[in-house]
Amino acid sequence: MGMETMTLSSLTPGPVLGGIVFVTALLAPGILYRRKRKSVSSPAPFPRDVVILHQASRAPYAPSLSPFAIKLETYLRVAKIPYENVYDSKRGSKGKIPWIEYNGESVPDTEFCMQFLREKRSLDINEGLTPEQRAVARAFQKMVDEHTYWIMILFRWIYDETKEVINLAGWSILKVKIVTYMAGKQTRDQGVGRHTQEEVEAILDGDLTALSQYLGDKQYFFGDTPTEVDCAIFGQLSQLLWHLPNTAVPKILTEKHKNLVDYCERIKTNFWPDWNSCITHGDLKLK
Amino acid sequence: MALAKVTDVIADLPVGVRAVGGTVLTGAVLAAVWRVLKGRHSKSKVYPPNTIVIHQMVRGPHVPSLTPFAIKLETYFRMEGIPYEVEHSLFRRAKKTQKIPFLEYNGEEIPDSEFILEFLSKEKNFDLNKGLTPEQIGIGRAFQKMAEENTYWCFVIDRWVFDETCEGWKSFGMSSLMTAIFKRSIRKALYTHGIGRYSPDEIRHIMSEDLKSLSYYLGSKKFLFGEKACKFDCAIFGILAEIRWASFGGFGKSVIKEYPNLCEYCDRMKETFWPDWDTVIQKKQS
Repeated sequence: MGMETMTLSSLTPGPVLGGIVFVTALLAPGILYRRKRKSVSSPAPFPRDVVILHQASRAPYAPSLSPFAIKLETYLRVAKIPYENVYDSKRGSKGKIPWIEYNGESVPDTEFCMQFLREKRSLDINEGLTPEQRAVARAFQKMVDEHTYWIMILFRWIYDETKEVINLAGWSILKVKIVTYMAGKQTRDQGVGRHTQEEVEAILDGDLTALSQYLGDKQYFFGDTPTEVDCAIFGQLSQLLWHLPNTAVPKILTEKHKNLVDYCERIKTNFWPDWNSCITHGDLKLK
Repeated sequence: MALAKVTDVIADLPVGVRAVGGTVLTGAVLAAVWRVLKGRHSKSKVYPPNTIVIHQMVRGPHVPSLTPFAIKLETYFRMEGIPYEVEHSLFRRAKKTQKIPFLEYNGEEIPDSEFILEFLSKEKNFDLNKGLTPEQIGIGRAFQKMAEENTYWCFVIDRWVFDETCEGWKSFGMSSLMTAIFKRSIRKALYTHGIGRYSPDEIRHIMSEDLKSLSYYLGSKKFLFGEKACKFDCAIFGILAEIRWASFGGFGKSVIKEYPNLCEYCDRMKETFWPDWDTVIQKKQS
């Protein structure tokens, strides 16, 4: 056909070098990000029988932007399990945070973490519950963690245009844009993101009414002592009450579900006496 | 002759132009075919005023619908003796949410099974929570949300992703290639959601724990709150029916067998509100 055969010797170094640099620049961020995301056991030796809780840094008006981190940390405090916080962006084996390490073993997922610690520590804060109460507890935990949670995500990333809390947490504009896009997609896939804001507020009110009516005038969900479900509910309510200041949500809680607000204050007083040193008010120097 | 001239002209075009042109043309043809197919199924029948029309997928196999939310709605209407019509379509979705089932009522479309029930309860003046205490309404909602927002995803991933027989896909007459494409898309969405990060054993465990809690709460009662079924029984039955009878090659059907009282509960709901179950699931609607 008359085409010249290319030989290695006919390639000049310049374009080849340029090509290598270009491909490396294209692929490197992805490779480095994936390596960073994989969980790596903490290099520092931690004492035996102390839980290492991996979570993101402290947040403006509650100890974390993650309801699951607050759930797990509240559980450790209620169960009086010694723990140390490691504030890093390393993800657990499922690519999520928070996660824990305990005597060399790492465990992802907050429900798996609590089950693991129940067995390792031979301590069950649900001990006094009847099988029927445990069943109801699971139902409420799934409702708040798998349903109410997505409504919180919608308010935080889509409805709250000020993003005051996210800005105070020091997130970069690029990161905010990426997460906002993903939140929109996730809430559409999950379903709740396909409704109007008014409809979502009504759905949220339905969940809060269910919680409020079951709690009634009890101290905690099943009486005078907290159980695992209280940790889960407190985790989700903490975000709704304290981390959505420019939305209708705190008002829905304070005006219609006062017993839930009192319940949150009770858990804060009893299990987070150091609350003020666990929140940043936007000071990024504080962990 | 003219055709030969056209093909000559095309052959003389640069490769890049031919590739782009070919892609655009194929896309346009596929889009046109899709629109024709969708259009064929979008034409609505005209119903008398105030008729409840539920738009959903085709019947069966094994269950009146492969979506639990349609079973929930129909079971509720049957329970309360509320007359309704059903329209079946493979393609038609609610304009607002692109989901099914949706309600057509006096020319208006209302999506989402919960919104449908709330709308109709005001329109037709019935109480969705008739006879329930506030505490029971709270517990009922919690179990419904657990079933619809957690157990639901477990059976979805079991039936559509983990089931290696792909029986569910085959029931739609789907080719292996299309099945692989759709499976990949669902797997990706479920990973982003969170549930897709668990192994099959972990999903099975989560499903089993959800069913265990339903089983413990139900106990030896006939329905969730005693002798009479309520709206929450309809919602939970929707999910359990899918697991019990439409897991195809997945592990769902063996998981629910660990809880005999739930199997009996499913049979009871079926016999009470769907005496025509076997006839209904035979019906093939296009």
